[in-house]
Amino acid sequence: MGRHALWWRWCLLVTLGELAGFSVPAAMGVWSSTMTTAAQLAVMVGAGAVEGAFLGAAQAVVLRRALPGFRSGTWVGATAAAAAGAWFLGMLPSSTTHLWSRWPVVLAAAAGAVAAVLLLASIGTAQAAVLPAGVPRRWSWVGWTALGWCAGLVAFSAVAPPLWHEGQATGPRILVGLAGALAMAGVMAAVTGVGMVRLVARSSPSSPEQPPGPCLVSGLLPGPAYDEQGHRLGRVVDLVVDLSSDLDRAPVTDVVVRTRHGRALVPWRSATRWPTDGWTLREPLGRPATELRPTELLVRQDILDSPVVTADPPRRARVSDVVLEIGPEAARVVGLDLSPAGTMRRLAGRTTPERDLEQVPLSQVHLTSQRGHAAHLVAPGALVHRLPAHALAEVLTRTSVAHAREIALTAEQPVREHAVRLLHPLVRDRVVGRGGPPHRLRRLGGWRLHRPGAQGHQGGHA
Amino acid sequence: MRLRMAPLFAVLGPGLLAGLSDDDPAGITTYSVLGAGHGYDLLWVLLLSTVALIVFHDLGARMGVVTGQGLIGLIRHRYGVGVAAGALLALVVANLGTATAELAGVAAGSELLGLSRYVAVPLAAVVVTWLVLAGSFHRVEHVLMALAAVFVAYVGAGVLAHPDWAGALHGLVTPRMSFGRDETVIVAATVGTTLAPWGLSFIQSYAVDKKLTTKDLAFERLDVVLGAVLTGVIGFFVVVACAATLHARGLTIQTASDAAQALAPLAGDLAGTLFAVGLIGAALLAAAVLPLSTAYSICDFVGSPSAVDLTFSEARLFYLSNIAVTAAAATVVLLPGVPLVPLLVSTQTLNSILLIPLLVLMARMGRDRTVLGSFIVSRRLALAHVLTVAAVVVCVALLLL
Repeated sequence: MGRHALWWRWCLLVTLGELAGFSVPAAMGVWSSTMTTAAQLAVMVGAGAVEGAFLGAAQAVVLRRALPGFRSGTWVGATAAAAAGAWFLGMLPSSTTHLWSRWPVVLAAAAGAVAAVLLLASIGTAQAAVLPAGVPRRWSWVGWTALGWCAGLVAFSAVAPPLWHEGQATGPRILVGLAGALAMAGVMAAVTGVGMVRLVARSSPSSPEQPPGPCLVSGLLPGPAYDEQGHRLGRVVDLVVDLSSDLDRAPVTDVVVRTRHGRALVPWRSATRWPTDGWTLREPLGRPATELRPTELLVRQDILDSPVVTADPPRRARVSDVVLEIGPEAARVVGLDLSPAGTMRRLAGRTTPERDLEQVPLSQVHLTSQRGHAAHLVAPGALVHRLPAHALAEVLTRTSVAHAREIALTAEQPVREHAVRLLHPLVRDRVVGRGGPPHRLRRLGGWRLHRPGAQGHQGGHA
Repeated sequence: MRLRMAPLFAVLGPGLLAGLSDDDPAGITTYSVLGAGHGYDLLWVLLLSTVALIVFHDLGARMGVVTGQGLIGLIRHRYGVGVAAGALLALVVANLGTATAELAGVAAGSELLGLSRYVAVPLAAVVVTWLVLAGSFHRVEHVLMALAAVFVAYVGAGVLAHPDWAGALHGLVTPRMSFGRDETVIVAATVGTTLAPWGLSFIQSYAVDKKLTTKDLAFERLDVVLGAVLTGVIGFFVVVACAATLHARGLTIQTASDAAQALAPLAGDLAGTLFAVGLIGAALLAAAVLPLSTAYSICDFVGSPSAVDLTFSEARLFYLSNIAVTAAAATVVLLPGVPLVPLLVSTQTLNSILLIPLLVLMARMGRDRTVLGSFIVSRRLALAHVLTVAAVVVCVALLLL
């Protein structure tokens, strides 16, 4: 992602995150206004932690894709804790007036200055401490955040207090507060964004090569595409994988680039992915992405998140992620992550595979997306071509009627006939096209699998 | 002739059931409040909601037949886990609200019969869950459907109440609204109960489950229209009966026994009992389907097995989410002092808000060639989808402002 794009993304997300987060202490402030001082302090510190969590989460969305090795959870936790501390420091003077009101002016001013510095530096210090160790000059982040918050608080003071006045109705007061919060969040995001872009630029390696090893498609796509001169071409939105040769290690042949004029392919060998979320393409855009061969699939569109059927164990699952092995010369699809944990990992924004990642090769599943199913039918060594009858019957049970008919037709006759005999009568009638849809006038007559019998059912004909 | 109609009778089911299922306690109560509170004035909302029900149920069934996937699974396949998680959250919250409304129906019905809700609701929750998860609910389903058919009595009650038919017809075809708070809430609730989020996911999963093929699509459309029209007709007579009896006397609905009075022209003193029996039958039916449909959607999103003929260890998530939805709904209904009729209506209002993201995603997928291939909807139908979404958005915006 280019510097400008990164800065804009940061500004937008951090402004929204801070605005959402700030609404919590604002609401809590109103709610706790009649409480005792100690209770009010406790409530506001808790609300500050929530505000910090919102802010940290918004920042993490940008940083996790821009900084290799960045840990979102730790970042959010550190930001929440620091924000709670900042609110504590901020509330302390008003909560302890009885203690310091008799101090000498110089002492009170010095204590106030120390508290202000600590307050402004708190979030930046906590965040810099959890930045990846390899980020050069990461402690400069403390200065940038302090500057950002300073500017943000000035902006808030410039907008909100002049517009608030005694006896104002609640609605306008809230609107003014929102405008002030928006100004504060926007200015803070803009200033810290400059520091963040510099930080990311320093941490980008001089060599853009993707490090070899397994990686997940969900962490690879989408990303902006540039030519060798750095001109933006579009976005890399998908990869093409060819199932015609080796299903266990199917090669990635092209990347799909979406431009204003449509989707086009560029050979994988001329594409280089930067760890900081961008692609450099060394060849011009080629054939349209609609002109794929029957054994070619789009990884994101036809495989990722689509249902698949496995025979051992017999089940229908959903593809949580696609595992690639990226070497110096080529990339290959080495497996599919079918675990629910993979879905949760993506929801949590983690893009690196676990050490004990469960992956099932493409040769052990049958894809049920329209193109995936069609490609698997013609791919040599595909699952449905080498299954014994009972396993084929399990697969036929878990696919749609149209797909089941096509799969059955590709099987050898004895296997097909035996598999069809094993099917549950309701499924068999649909697959062989002998009966119409099951007559059912009950809501709960369904949600059943109708599994094949071990010994087969009577009367089946393929 | 008999041969040509055979496929229709075979396909008949998903649309009819999904359409009829809108006449559940929440639906009946919402229509009753609409008629009692506003007479015939807001009947046009029911007509438009029924048209919306037809176009979106048709789309749901079409997507199920063509893609072989449930609604949430399909959203995940097309838009990824983030969008699908948001859609699932909206659906689960809406379903939880509606499941609560169904059990509130059990509570209201049982209290009309003199049985405490603290006995009836836990008992209903346990029995329904056990029958569903043991796979034997379908054996009692026809009995409950027969009980729920009591609501057809509203047709007779509506006629016997000597309503102002001209006024009813005028209200049906003349949109008018004063945009008052109560009026806006009941309009949103009517939309939310007719075009319920769970109905959308239910019809799609049911079409998948029945293993319908694209050859069955024409018959399936008839099925959807029939079901939706039936919903609209019953809803119309509920409104008319309440308008002619309660609204004419200036009465409002605060409790289930108030709503039952609309059946008095037909049932006389037995109105309360008749209403209670119908309410319990329909509530038990819906209370069985809703958690099941929710569990199916959750498993569809995650990719876990979901079928009632699998064992607990084979489909743990499916069983646990079913139980969790029922338990949560029962807990809300059993909170001391919870008013049942406002609870029923407010859950349907919530439905109308949560409908929006689901309708938007469905409308987009309806014209998406990567999803439906050559079965994408026509421009005219797509326009109907857009207009429906816009109408619901306006309705919700009025509610929130």
